[in-house]
Amino acid sequence: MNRYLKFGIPVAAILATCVWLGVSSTKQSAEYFVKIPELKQMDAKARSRHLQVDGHVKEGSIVSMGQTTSFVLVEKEGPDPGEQLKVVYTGSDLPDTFKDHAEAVASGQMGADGVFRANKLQAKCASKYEAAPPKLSASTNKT
Amino acid sequence: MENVGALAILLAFCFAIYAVVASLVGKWAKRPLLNVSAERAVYCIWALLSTAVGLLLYALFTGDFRLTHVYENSNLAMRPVYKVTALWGGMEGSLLLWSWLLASYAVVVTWQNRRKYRNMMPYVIAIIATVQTFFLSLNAFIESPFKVWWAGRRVLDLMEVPDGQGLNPLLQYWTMVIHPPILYLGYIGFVVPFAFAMASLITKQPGEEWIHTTRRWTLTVWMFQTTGILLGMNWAYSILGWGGYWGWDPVENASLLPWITATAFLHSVMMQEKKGMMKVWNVSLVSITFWLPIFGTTLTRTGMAQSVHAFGVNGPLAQYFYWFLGVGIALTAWLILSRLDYLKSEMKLESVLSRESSFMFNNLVLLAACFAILWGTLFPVISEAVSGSKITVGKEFFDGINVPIALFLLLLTGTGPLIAWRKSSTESLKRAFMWPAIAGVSMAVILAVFGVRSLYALMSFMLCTFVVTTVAIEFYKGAAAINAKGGNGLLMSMVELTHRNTRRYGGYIVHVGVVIIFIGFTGQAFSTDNDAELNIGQSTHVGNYTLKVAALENGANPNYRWTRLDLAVSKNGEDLGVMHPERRLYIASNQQDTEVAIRHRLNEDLYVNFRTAEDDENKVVLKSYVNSLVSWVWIGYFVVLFGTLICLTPSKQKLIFARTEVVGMGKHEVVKD
Repeated sequence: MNRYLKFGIPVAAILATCVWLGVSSTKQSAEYFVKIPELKQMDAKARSRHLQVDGHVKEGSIVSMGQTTSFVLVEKEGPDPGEQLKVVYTGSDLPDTFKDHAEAVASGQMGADGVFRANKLQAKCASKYEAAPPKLSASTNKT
Repeated sequence: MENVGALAILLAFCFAIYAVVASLVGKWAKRPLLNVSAERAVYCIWALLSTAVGLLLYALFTGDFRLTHVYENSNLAMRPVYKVTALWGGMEGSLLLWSWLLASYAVVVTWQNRRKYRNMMPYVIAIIATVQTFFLSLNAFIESPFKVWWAGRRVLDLMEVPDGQGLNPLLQYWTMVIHPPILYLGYIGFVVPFAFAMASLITKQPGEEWIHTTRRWTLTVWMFQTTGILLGMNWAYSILGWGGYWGWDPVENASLLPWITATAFLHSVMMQEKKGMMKVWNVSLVSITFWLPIFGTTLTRTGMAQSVHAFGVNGPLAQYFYWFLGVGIALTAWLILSRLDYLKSEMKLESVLSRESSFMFNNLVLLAACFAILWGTLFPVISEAVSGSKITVGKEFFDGINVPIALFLLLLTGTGPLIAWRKSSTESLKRAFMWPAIAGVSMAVILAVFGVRSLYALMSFMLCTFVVTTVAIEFYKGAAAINAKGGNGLLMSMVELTHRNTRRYGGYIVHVGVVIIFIGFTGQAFSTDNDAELNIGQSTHVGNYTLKVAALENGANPNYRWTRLDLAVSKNGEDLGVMHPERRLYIASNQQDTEVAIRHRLNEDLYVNFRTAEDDENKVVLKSYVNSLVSWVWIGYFVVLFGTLICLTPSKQKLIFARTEVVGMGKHEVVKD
């Protein structure tokens, strides 16, 4: 057999398998990352996808009832700040960094009632330097 | 004091530029004294940066909270060991640590080779010093660790300065004390093989000079990378409280990528040493391994990839990194392309069933895994550029592609070392693989009979058994041969065997360690977890365990307030004592932190985490996990470490073997130790 063919076939087979694995698992795990204003403007089809919403936790909005935690996310940046979204998270893995003012990313699906139902929650601690003295510009923090 | 520190960094920056210029001019103008002065500059950089690091440590220990870095990352009540950690707890300090470690590597290389490789060394020093210049420019002009926020007030009035905000509580854990420096040692260390590779291309060195000079470096640096990643996993498992150790976060991926290419390099380098093949591939791999950590840093610290790791995002810093990456990679690629003539392969692949092709497949799938992880990490960026909507991929994507690749790699780990160079006959393959194959299949059948149903788990255990059997047979065969010639027992003969060829048998031990780690990974298929809301006195079940909430205690110390849960644990009716998960609220940073309680056993870990319900202080929301085989991951690491150390030990006798059929160059012998 031709030398190139002899090596080409297994190499192509391996690469094709990898591509196939990649494409099929992308479909399974894709989540659309949206901002709150974008979410509000989306049509019904787009809203039915798996979504990740990013925003800041509104002060005093966290209410925990056992394994269910509800809170309000607020958009702080972008062209229209102030847009809010009510989120209900079910699960007991509340990150330690999840608290008022923290930047949080909720993963889940939009309910028909306008409440976002999250099954995963990630939070960045943002408020650590809020009490920082004046002139303190760089707020770096490494985890 | 901060002025002395800042001056030391600035001077080090000047010395680094001097080292680049003096090295190159000395080489081109044939002025050896200039080269000597460049080498001295390397030592000076180290001394200056050590001064800066020492001063920052002093500031942390004495609590000089006028300094921004000290204020943001430490407070008075912190334990002293974490004051050392606070050095790299923020961006400025971690970049300073990076520079200092790079300077330390430069000193070791310069000293080791002060009488060797006079032709290459000026370029090696110039390349390392260029990288050093880049990082020092960040330390000096962008992220100065000696910035004072108390400026403009009465400097001497230290009493007025408030206490600092404290180190991020998540970092106040023992593995976090050593994880960053060790991971950095792994990241930065590849500058040395890279510099030698580039220097040998520039000076048009024939053959594999750079590989021989840097082999120990490569292996040592790989060992640091492995250790750094495993420490990070251990930290995530013990601190973050979600029951796992790997979440495919961009920061984790960034640390894994160079490890994969380094592993590929460690294997493909043997092809060049022994066969003179894959030369272009090897210089490319070593370059990729050097540039990937810098790319990863760009990715995670400039906000390009979303990460739960709360790194500070810094605009100007991003610009610096983009330029450094862009120009650096372009120059590297240009150099490799312009030297293609010197990198011609001396041999060709002959058979698919050969050691050569098994190395090739190993590299192919490792690189495929690397590409897939990179693709997944960058997917939000790519999808936003292409379709306008930002799409993220998670665990399913990374597991979906990497688990099959990992299984295929396991198969190669077992088969590769036993296949002959050039070409294997089917007859010899049958002889070599009959017993390992029987052992592997038997293991899978036994496990299936005992109720294991996960296909991947069965395949993984089958391949693990297969690999371990091949290695055991290799050790046994070699040791039996030595023993027959008058050795003293099989065990001593195995030690003797390993000592005769440390690289080969050390490598086998590393493979066994990897297998043990894989057994630990496979355990995930059998893990279970449970959520429960409990009042004091109530109990719940997870796996075979019964967990009863016995009491809740509260307390405080100067650093944090705590709530501790007394959880009585029993398994199948047998009392196993009390576990104490804890929640802390750090006072200085006003940040919560969980201290998970873990009961480690060889077969499974019981892992519990809790929080108190907001509406009722006596009610507990308990999350418990039974994680199968996790301890094997940590045990496997120590086996890998042991094997790597054996590889680094010189062999008892130097094996000399001649290359066959060297094409295009004079025949030369290669000394292999």
